[in-house]
Amino acid sequence: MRFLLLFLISGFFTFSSEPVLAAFNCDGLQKATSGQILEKGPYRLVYRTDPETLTVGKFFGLTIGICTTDGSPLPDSLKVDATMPMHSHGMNYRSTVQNIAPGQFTAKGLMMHMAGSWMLQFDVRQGSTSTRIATKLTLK
Amino acid sequence: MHHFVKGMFASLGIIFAAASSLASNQNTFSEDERAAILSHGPWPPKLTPDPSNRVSGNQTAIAFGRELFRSRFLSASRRHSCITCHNPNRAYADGLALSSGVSKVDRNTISLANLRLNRWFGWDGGSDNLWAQSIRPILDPRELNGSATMVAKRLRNDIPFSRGYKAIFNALPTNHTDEDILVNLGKALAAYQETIVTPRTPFDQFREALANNDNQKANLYPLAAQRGLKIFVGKGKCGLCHQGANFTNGEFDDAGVRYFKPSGGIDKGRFGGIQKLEKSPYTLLGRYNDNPSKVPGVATRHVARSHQNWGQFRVPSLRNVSQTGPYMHDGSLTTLRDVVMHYSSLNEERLHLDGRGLLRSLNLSHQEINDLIAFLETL
Repeated sequence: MRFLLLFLISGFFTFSSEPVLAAFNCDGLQKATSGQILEKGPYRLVYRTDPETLTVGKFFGLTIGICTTDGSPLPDSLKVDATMPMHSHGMNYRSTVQNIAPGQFTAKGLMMHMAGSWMLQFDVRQGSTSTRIATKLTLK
Repeated sequence: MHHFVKGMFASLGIIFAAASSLASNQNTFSEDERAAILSHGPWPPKLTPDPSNRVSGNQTAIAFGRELFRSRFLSASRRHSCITCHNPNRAYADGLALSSGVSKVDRNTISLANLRLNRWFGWDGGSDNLWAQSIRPILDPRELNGSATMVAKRLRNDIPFSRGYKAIFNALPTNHTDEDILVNLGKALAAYQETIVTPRTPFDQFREALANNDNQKANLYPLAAQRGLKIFVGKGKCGLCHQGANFTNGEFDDAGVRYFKPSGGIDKGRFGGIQKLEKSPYTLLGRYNDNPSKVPGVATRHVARSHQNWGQFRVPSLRNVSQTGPYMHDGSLTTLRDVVMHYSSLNEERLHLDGRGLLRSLNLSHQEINDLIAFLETL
């Protein structure tokens, strides 16, 4: 079963087309080493960028998987944004996020227009609760 | 023999002196500085036709667009042309603080060069493609003061232009609507303007020499310009906005320049640009984009209008910058020295919050100011 999940997750992150897969759980997610894994509260989030290497001034997309480690419900929705804290500004673009399957999302239309340190932010919403999961990215 | 040995030593002496002189003619750059310098090239870039414009790269369209660009045909009064503001002898600008067509405009004329590299056009990015940006001054009452109806009527009645049009668009203008004609003329104008590319410069030669570890060629680049370049990629952090081979990130920032219009009122800058974009029928998301997949419209689809856009203007390319003054969106800085002084002694109180996060007074010395100017003059 674990092998099957791993296989499905690998397929999820190949970006060959709109990724669609069966139910997603944290066992499988933990094994998916090809993406960046972030954790906060009950959530474990894995994401991959498309293209894999980010370039200043070039648009990119994300494929995101989210599971919960304590059995709580999967998120209803997700917002993705990026900011440059040192310069007090964000992106000049608003990404569009699509919920493609339970716990699985794609984000399009992200672009970092300046070299330096960025915070990539995922606002995970479940019911009335929003949890921000963030990670630092450095673009040269 | 004695003379021969003496002569040989003399020659060696000259060689050593030359080598020593060469060595002293080059600044040393750290690995980070070197990487930053190399990121500003190569030049010229490889350009591909604009997929949103079916006549981009078409030689007949380029020649036709060039004729239109120089002709007064597009001006309601027949007194103005594109050249009125975009004079080829002035780096496709006009040397004036503020543009002037039928009447004065509140913004400085942007030099037309390397436009195929742009994502946005105009100081406020009110157009997301060059053909739309070419239509804009035709319709602006302060510039050419025309209309789709006027342009179409003139074209239909002008036999040479009418034939030129048919050769490109496979139909006489009598078979096209007024608006289709306007857009097609915009596309021919765009095809021509895409061919205006600035030549290689002393900076490009230096960059190439650096990439090839060719010290002899690198040493030909003036020492003052090298020192200025070091400031540009180092303490000046100029490359944050003026990045890449075209020395611009193509985006928008608050540079601490006044945003009150000379004629009164506030210039909304990028905020107004996005508003224009949202209303325009000529964007990459509209029916006039010739690329059926509309793929180039990703920026337009995702652009976000927010409070931070107030007071922001497009970061201009620095290619050919010594030829394109006066500077800034309102032409308020006359010379390159004024521009460098502006960033050196910036009034941080005047910046928006976003600008304050990015910009700091550089507090450059007199020598550093001269060096930065020497560098800019080599672009």
